[in-house]
Amino acid sequence: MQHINAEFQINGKTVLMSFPADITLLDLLRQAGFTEVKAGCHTGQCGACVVLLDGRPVNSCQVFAASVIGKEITTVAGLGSVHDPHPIQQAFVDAGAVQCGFCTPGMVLVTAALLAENSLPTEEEIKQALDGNLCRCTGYVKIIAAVKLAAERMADHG
Amino acid sequence: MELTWYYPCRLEEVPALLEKPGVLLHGGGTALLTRSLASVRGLVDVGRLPLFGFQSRRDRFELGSALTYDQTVREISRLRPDHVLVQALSRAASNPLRHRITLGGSLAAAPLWSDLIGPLLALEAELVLIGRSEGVFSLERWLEERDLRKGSLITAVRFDDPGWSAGYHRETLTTFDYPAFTVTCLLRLKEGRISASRLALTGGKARALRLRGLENELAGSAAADFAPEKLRLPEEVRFAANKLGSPEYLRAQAELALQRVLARLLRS
Repeated sequence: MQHINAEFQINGKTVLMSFPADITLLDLLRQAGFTEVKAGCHTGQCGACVVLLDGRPVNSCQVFAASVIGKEITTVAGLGSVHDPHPIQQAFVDAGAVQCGFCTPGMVLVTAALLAENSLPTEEEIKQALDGNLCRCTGYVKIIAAVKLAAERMADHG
Repeated sequence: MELTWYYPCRLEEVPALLEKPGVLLHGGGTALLTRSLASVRGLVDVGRLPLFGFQSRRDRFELGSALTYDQTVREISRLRPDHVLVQALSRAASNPLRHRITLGGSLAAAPLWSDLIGPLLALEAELVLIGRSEGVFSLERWLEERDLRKGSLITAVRFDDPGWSAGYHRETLTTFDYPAFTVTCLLRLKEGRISASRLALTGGKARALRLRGLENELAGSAAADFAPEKLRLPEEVRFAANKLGSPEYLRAQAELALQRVLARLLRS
């Protein structure tokens, strides 16, 4: 198997990685320690593995790493941390939108991409943006409330 | 088996790469990841090729084949928010997948559940190819002649759209499901009558069908008097059973969907 050596921009830092030609971005990221990217269905249906690729949400299980060399990749850890959470992450906590937490990284990243383009989305637009993210705890009502709360807070603070 | 990636920057490089044994094109990769790569020796990534253009001159649209569904929706909706491709592709698959699935990849794979084929069939789209089959080919021919797909790259999708009123339906149990079938209706009215129509149905045994007999039935009908509930699907429309139901049920649902889309269009 061809091995590829290439650089990626991950969470604002240049990372050099060596990887087999057929590895998915999900597997590469997790093997490199980015375990905040969750491995769910591996078929592009659950949204747990979502990362932002040049600012757009993609299922990292449906992306060959070799096809995104040099691209800017953002995982949920690139948005904020426990000690310095992003307003979206804080809104998910405050709205009670985190139950088991497995879907939360994907939900938060899709929300970040949505609010970057549409600062005050309607409920329908929120649902459409989150149509590829499944919550096994079925906590969708609180998740949608969290997106609205994040939008309001981020709009208030420019 | 050794898998090698190729990253051409110029279209002229592609035909020779496609002649190598076991080499496939990689657009967004979502179709490739559902299959075994055991027999694949090489992947040609189209991401550095000049295939991301979007042109609209008068009623003529030309879309680069590497545009994703999301990019296509953004481009067209700036000009025509109710365009049939906006209706179809903005609900296809899911948000993260719409950022990966490309027009070219979707046409190359042409899955039964595609949300792209029906609208493009109704728009009488043409595909621009390079490689073994070079030139401009109708989508209908592309779907019929599988040899066209071998050793060829779709560089662009073209169609004329003089301002059709458009309606689209995808039959699913949940929003995320692949559609069991899709119905596309394009209508033009003149002085209260249907002056032209294009109807397409995908997902049946024939995969993708233009309903030309029904289009002829509609021609000249007065919009105010037209009763969509009397419309019947032609005999040739048949379905295989799937998780949504029996062939008879799916046929009845498709007929109902067609009637409803037409009724909605005529009301509006």
